[in-house]
Amino acid sequence: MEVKPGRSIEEQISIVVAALLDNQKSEALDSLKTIIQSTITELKTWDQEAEARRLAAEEQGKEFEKPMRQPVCTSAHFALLSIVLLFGKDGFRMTLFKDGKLQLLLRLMGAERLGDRGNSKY
Amino acid sequence: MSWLIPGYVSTEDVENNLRFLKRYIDEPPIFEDDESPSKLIRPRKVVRNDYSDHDSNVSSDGADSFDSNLDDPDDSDRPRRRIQRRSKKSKPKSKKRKRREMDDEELQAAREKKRLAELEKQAKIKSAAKIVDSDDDEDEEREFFERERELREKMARMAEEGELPNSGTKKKKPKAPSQSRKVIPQKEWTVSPLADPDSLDEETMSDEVGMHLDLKRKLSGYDTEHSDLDEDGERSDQEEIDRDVERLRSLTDVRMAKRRAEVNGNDDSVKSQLVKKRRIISINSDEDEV
Repeated sequence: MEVKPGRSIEEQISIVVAALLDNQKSEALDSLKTIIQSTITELKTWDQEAEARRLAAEEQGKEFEKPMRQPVCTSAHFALLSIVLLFGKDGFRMTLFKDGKLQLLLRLMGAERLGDRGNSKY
Repeated sequence: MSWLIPGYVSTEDVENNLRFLKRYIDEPPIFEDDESPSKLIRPRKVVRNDYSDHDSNVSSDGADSFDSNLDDPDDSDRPRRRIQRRSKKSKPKSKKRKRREMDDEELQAAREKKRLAELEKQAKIKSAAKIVDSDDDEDEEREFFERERELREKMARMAEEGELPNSGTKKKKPKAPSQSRKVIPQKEWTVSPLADPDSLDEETMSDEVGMHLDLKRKLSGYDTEHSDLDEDGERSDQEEIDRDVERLRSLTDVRMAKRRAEVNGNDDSVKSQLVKKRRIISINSDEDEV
């Protein structure tokens, strides 16, 4: 599914949310909201950790500049990637599987389904 | 099926999107003209079965791709790009298919060629079998003509004997044929194998008949010319010749019957010719009896 082109991400989100509310999917929307919330918390912790590593690398980088920076950066990249959305309840997973609009909303949030793109590359 | 936040999506983006989400859940948007939001959502048209293209896109755009794809208000160029990509993809594919079809055609042509060659081979085998048959026939014919020749020699011998009045004894008989065998038949054989079997047959038959007549004439001549010769010797000679003529007639009759059986049902004209010949022979035999 996709929203007809020519709209900003905010408009697209508003359209999909309205459509889901029309279909009495407020429960799923609430679940999605909490899931995204927890994911953001996790993302933040990863970001902080990555920042800390970067800072540490910079401090040490005075002595070993190039060899240290590279692996730290890539590991941060991998860390960001490894954030998987944890749906908790199986019911929501099933609803998501069945509902294309819900999947669209998740995509609009910035998430991706494993296998949709060449994730194996990373 | 697991979902994840890709590396190029920043935490800020996700936070912003979550803010939008919360806002629209709390205060549902009202669309102008009572337009149903479901109508603004449509199934994605592009089925992506090639991941490499997206990989290259992701790697080239990096972190920007998310913004350019989703945050950009001029999102309308996205499908266009996809169409372009699709057309790019489709071109080499069609080429490939064409080539494959060509291969198929070639294959079919090769198959046809092979089949024709097989047929030709079989036809050759058939014709070869026929040739072998005809060879057998020729052998048979040669055998037949050989027998004919021997018979003719015998007749010539007898005729010679008939011409020589003093050699009319049984003892002298084997001496005469050595000469005739050497000269007469050899000449005939140089022509006969190349000639048409039917005409050859006729020729030999007429020869035979002629010889028959010749013999008769000679015999009658002999009768008139040498009437003053010894009665006993003449009679014995006459009896022998008569016996020979009788044998010859029976032989030719048998042979004719055989030939007719071979030819029977094949060709009416040949049949009629044979009947004619038979008539001639029968007339001949009548003369004999007289």
